[in-house]
Amino acid sequence: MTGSEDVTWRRAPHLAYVDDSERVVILDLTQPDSGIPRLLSGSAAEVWRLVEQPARLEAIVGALVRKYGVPRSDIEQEVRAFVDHLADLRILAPNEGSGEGDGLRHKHVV
Amino acid sequence: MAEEQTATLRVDEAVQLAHALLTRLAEIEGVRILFIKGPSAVLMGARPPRPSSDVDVLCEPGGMEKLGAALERCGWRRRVPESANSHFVHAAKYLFEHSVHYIHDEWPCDLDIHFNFPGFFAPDDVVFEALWERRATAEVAHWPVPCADFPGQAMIVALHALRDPENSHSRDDLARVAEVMQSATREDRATLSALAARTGCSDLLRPLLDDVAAPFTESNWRDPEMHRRWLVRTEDPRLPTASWLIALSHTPWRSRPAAIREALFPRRSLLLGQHIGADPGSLEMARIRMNRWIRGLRHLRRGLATARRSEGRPK
Repeated sequence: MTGSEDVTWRRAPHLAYVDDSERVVILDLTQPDSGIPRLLSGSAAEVWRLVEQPARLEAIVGALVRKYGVPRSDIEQEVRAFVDHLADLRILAPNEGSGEGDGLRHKHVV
Repeated sequence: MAEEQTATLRVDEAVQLAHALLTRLAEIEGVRILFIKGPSAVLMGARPPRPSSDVDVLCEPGGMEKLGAALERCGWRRRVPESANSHFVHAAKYLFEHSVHYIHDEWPCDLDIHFNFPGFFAPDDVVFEALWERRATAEVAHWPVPCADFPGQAMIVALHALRDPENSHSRDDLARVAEVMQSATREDRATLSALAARTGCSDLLRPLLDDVAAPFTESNWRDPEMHRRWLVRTEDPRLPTASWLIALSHTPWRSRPAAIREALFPRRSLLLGQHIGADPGSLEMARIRMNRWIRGLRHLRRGLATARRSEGRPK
């Protein structure tokens, strides 16, 4: 999967997470047997926070440029690769409306 | 850019994520659970906020086996209780043991899976259904988890506090429950009383109910003998030795020598069941055994007195 500029990214819905503003620890609950808590810190945690609402790669990069005061050209490729990596890990997903994962979160709630 | 990596969990992270994990496992296995105490009690307003180091969940009758197996598939293992001495029989009831504990080398928190809770004298299924009917949903680790509602949490927080009234947390917790109930409506106080009666903890909670001017409703599940044992046990915080002596007193005479031998020289698995982390070497094992003997001897005399009072025998 590539971090195409046309893709709007969102957090995958099957994730539980704890964010203490210093670091984010994420647990994938689709297959709990094999779920390993994953840690995001520093700018990686910022990427996560920037998709609290669905966002395009351009907006993510733009926010990081403003936060860290670095040229866009310095980070764009790295951010694209990182977003792709998070997508491969099923931490981020393309925002294509409610997907199969949404049911996990609400199934037991009555 | 800082990378994603496998996390070494902090306690607060582990506790929160474990709520989500247990919720998901229970859903997969078709087992009903309710979170009690800890973060869910705080979110329901029944306990002051403070860090938790373990996760407590009430499991529906018959669901423990499936839930336990699911946890074991995720790498959790049972923490072996002291009453697992193979020669003790019927120990759990008299020791007010109502849960199975799980630990994991990479998660710095315990999971306490309850099939009942100390102080509820009604049967397990009656207690669970009474709390399940009124369940609420709390969000922990940004995941919706089922939990006991305020009255349910309040009863459990109060019962837990009453087991160890000298503990500073206990005093704060009882004060919080009382404070909330004193400003509650008459109807809400009546609801608490009715729930206490239905679950068989009215007698134990009577001091609290009286304190908040809640009507007292006599329970159909009264158990004067268990009530007496409870009161004796809460007088003495040195529980392990008294617990062992009580369990021994209910063991057939012919099994007692073996039970005593096992207590003095417990299996490695029993000793390690109380410890988290990598298996200790022989020197550390010797230290663990020595500390256990020292604790037992230190509390023996007082434990004997407590055990005798708990069993209704003269000093």
